[in-house]
Amino acid sequence: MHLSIEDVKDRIVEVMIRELELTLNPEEVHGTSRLDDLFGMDSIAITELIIGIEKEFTIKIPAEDLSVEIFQDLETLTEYVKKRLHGKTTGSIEGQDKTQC
Amino acid sequence: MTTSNRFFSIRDIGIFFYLVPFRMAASVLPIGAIRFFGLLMGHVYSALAYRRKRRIQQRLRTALGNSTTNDEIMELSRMCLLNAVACHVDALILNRIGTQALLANGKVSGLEHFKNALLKGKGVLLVTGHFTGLKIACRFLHESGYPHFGIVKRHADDPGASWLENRYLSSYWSKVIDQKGRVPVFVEDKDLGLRIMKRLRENGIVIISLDVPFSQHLLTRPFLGYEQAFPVGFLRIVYSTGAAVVPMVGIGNSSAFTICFEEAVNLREAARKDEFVAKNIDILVRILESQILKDPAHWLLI
Repeated sequence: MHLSIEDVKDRIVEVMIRELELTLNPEEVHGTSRLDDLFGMDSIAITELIIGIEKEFTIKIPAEDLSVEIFQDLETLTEYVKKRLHGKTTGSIEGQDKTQC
Repeated sequence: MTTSNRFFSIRDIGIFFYLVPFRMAASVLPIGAIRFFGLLMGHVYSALAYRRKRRIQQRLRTALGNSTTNDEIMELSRMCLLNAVACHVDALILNRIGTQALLANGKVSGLEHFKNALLKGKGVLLVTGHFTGLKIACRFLHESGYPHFGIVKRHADDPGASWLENRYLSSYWSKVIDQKGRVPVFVEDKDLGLRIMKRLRENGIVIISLDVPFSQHLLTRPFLGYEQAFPVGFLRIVYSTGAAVVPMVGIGNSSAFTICFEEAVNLREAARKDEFVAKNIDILVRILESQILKDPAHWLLI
């Protein structure tokens, strides 16, 4: 199934709201520039987001990709997930089978 | 951060003495001489720190109940203070002692439990308390090729400490001590969650000190006769990732120590995250309590 970048973003926002138990509507999450703003002081919340995204898109995020650059905002995260999804269908993402989840 | 009314305290002089002249002297003096000096300082401290000794005695009475005599309580409180000083002195010795020489002085038990937990491939959270041999246990893991990190606070945040200690001395302390075998990750770091996740994904180890409330997620539980807040953020990670939780205790110093890995905790399942955290923190607090009651003089936070 081919997902557009907007579809991926919408689904990530849904995961955020569900997993982080946010009391925001999707539009408010879309409008957030940095993910830190959503988590506040809760640095552990990102681990729940990672697991939620993996379940939602049936992908694995390998250890080497768990970086601040990817998780800095909704755009970078969406781009990354889109890339992983593309890699899943073409099998082109290096390191995909190296994860130990 | 908690602010103290005092800019400076007498304790700051002691910390400065330990971190600068004593640490420098300890880098060149024979190890036997450092130990002797540490023992001497321990006896002096034990004789002078009567207020702290009284607090320890009160806590021991509450924790141990009527099964322990007054003489035993007095002796235990003296040992607690001696061990507290010896532990700081030993931290300096640890930076000088070679791996083979260190490992020859200790006993490690239950390593198979730890290895079995690693076989699951989801990372291991080693849950422990501030026991005298914690630094040695970290060093053992480091030298044995198990990548790990511990989570600490950048500033002491101790209401009893001066502003100077909270702001500068404690961070300088964590910079200059623990050079080998312990890479601290700070609870204040925004990427803490990512770093924990990354380490677990690499099937690595994260050390959790259960006896300090270094977390944004805390739950209060009865503990040794008092109510205490415990960090529970790591249990949320366990719920999501399925990482194993292995209790560990390190007792002693570099001249004689034991490190014990217990069987991985059989965590109780729950449909909801909050329920999982609440059920399992109870199990872990009881484990920590039993470890402390077994060796109360070796628990540094009494």
